[in-house]
This record gives sequence, structure tokens and C-alpha cells, in this order.
Amino acid sequence: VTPASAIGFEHVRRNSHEILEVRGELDLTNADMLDEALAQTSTRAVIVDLAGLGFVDSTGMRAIDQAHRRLAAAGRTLLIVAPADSTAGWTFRIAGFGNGSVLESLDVALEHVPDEREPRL
Amino acid sequence: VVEPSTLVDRLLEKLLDGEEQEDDVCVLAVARTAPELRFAHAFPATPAAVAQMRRALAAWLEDVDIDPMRRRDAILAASEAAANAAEHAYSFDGISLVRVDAWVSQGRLQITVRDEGRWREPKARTDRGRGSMIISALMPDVAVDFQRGGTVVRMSLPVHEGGPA
Repeated sequence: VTPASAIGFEHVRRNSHEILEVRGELDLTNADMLDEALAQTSTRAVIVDLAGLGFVDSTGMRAIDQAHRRLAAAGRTLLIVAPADSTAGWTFRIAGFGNGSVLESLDVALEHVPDEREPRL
Repeated sequence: VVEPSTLVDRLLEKLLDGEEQEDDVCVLAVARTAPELRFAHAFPATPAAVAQMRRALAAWLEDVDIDPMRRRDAILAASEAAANAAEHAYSFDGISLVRVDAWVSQGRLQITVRDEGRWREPKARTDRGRGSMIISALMPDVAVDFQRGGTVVRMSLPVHEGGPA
């Protein structure tokens, strides 16, 4: 039995949000690992950064889509970063995936994160 | 045709004339092997074997004269078609074989993905439906042939921009 495709997650925790940077290949052999990695997050806003992905297939896209819905159902937000010139950005475009909810850069995603250091009025 | 090791021995003999050298001498000879003309890969219906086929196809395509963007298109389309076959024809049974062939003919990369199973229709709005959508978006020419003994997906794309459409 051959192992799952190579994938790596880097998890950065901040006060107001968490960033999950995904590298390697997200496909039908390891899409469940994305769910496991996202299960470790707890902030209201979570950024999943796919700019460094080398490959993503339809099963990987389904995992991202379902995670997005799952967090939304829990009153949380999954911000998806996949620049147009990245492999993930290209694949999403081909598949008609995202409907404008895919963000161009980490900076753009950070603008969508509510800053909890500032007092809410 | 001379083996690289023999060639190196002869060159050194000629160049150095059998004399002892104070410094190191390095001679490198490289033999190019002809690229495989056809990719032929059969694999058991498991997710891991689908991914392995994808990597094998990508490695084969490295030696094919094809635009990098078209190479990327072909790898994703073949991967989705192979995953469809492994799941829908065989329900990832781990035993039945999916066969992927690829070759270049008249300026086009041809890919076929065949199984000998009976397809269960993809449920609406699953990722497999998305897989078929991806294939159609990437491949200007796709034909799915459902036969009594299995299914053959034939697809092709021009290897160069502006090539035969």
C-alpha cells in the first residue's frame, strides 16, 4: 500500500485569528488531513493559505468547500487564500469554485479579520 | 555506440597518455536515453494508486515536447478521469484495474482512461461531478464511451499553443 501524497501544515496562532498554511499536494489520498488540521483551530476567523500548494484535485476542493460551510454553520469564517497565479487559484478557476470567496493574498485575508484588540463600539 | 564508461577510459588514455598527474582530472560523459514514446500505466482502484499514476504521468510528460500549461492541464484532467474510474466503476475496491495510456499523435497529446466496471451514476453535486466538469474545462476534446464491458474516456489537447485544435 502506497502512502498518502505529501502534505504539510503550518499553524500560526494569533489573538484574533489563526493561519493554516498548506504546502504539498492536497488530493484524494489526504484531504481528510485538512479537516484534522482545521479541527485544531478555535478562533472565529481562520485563514487557510493555499498559495504554496503544488497540486489540488476535486476531492481537495470538496474538503475546502465543506470546511468553509462547517465553520460558517458554527458562526465562524474560513478565509481562503489562493492567488490567481498559484496552482490552487488556477484549479479553482477551472472548476468554477469559490464564487468570489477566494482571496488573492494573505494581506487581503487579514483585512477581513476583525481586530479584537480594538474595543467594539 | 560506445558506453559512457568506455568512452571516458579511452578519452583519459588519449589525453593523459598514461602519465601520472599531479592534479585530479575529471571527465564526464552522458548518454541520453530515448524518451518512452507511450505512457502505459495500469493501477488498482485505490486513492493512493490514482495519485501514483498522476506522478508517473507527470514524470513521463517531462520528456514530452509540450507547453507547460498544457502539461498541467493534462495531468489534472487525467487524474480526475482516473479517480472517476477508480471510484465509479470499482468503488475503490483495491483490486480491479484502471488503465491509463498517453501518446502524442499529429501534434496532440492523446490520453485514454479505461475500466472494465459498471458505472454507478455520480450523485448530483458531488466532487466527482466536479471532476467531470474540470475535465471538460481542460480538454477541448473529450469522449466518454460506455460499453458493455466497461468505460473508455478518450481526451486530447494540442501540445503547443496554436497547434491543431
